[in-house]
Amino acid sequence: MALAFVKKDPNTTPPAEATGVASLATTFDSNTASGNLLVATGTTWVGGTAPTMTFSDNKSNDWSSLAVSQLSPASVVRAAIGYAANVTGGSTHTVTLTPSVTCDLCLGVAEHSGVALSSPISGTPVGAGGSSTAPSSGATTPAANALYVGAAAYAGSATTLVLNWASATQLHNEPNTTYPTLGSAYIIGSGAMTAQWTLGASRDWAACVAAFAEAVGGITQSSVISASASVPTHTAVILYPGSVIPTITL
Amino acid sequence: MANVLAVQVRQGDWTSATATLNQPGKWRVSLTGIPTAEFEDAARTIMLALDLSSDGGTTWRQKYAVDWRGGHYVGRDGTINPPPTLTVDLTPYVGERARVRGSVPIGTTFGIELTRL
Repeated sequence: MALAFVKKDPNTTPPAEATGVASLATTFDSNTASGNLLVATGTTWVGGTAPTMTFSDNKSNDWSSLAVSQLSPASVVRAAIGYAANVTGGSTHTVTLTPSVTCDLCLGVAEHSGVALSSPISGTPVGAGGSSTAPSSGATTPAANALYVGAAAYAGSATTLVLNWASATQLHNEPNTTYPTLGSAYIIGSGAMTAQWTLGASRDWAACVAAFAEAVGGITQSSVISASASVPTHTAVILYPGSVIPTITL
Repeated sequence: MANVLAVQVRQGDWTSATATLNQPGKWRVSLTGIPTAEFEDAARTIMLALDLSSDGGTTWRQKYAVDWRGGHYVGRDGTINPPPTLTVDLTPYVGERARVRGSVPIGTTFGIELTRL
């Protein structure tokens, strides 16, 4: 099953945006499919200590947060990528971003198919912060063909935030600094890749990227490895869970 | 849609009047008029949701939501206790009806402003 983008939420260029809140949630307009990957990109901007970010949903899926990047305490912007693999999908699927302290937030979510059902991260997610016109995550190198998702944010007065990641597709973009700002994008490919944007003027920025492995023949790579390492006679039980297990007389 | 709920003490679950989204673009929902003493009270919470209806208001679905929690808050520009806001682009939903819904466990003074940006 090939890697593919399914849909995003919000289904607009701007992400969902909020200021001075304890959490922010957005709900997909149509059903999400069980087994797919949900990837959320979130940014925070707050005076003081940068908060941690927790992603969750209303389907009790297991979310992980990674590739967090952070700027200096003087302009505390964070960008993060959260994901839930092999999700339980369905109608009114709501994803929530909850920071550890009240702050300003941006949130965007995307659904992808064909991703490994468990342990989907391939390579090492990376994040970086800097001060220039060129937000750049640093490179991640997955083991094989993968889905890459990147996010960026900047602090300071408003300027433009333009995706500069060759062949990548923009998911969300909010360059207005009334909010924390968020640029997010994805690409399906292979090899070392760096998520990059271009700012209209030099600003403090944060950027991050993560890669997700492609499912192998509809079965995750990790499952194949696990099955081949198990006692072979157990394979029949795994393949035919509804069958009657024969009595074994010792 | 110019939907403004006056500042007053609210408690429990409530919904605003509904209105048809007749223009594309961004809309902002602001919580206004929270007194300083209530803003500083960490026990106070407000759940605020923006609901949409594609069948004229017969059935509603939550599209966006924020939780506000009291406690001393300094905005990133140094402002003390700035009004909480939710801002979203509602262009895909032009023609649908919208409402704001809230849940307030402890009586809290606030108003709501819906503004098209």
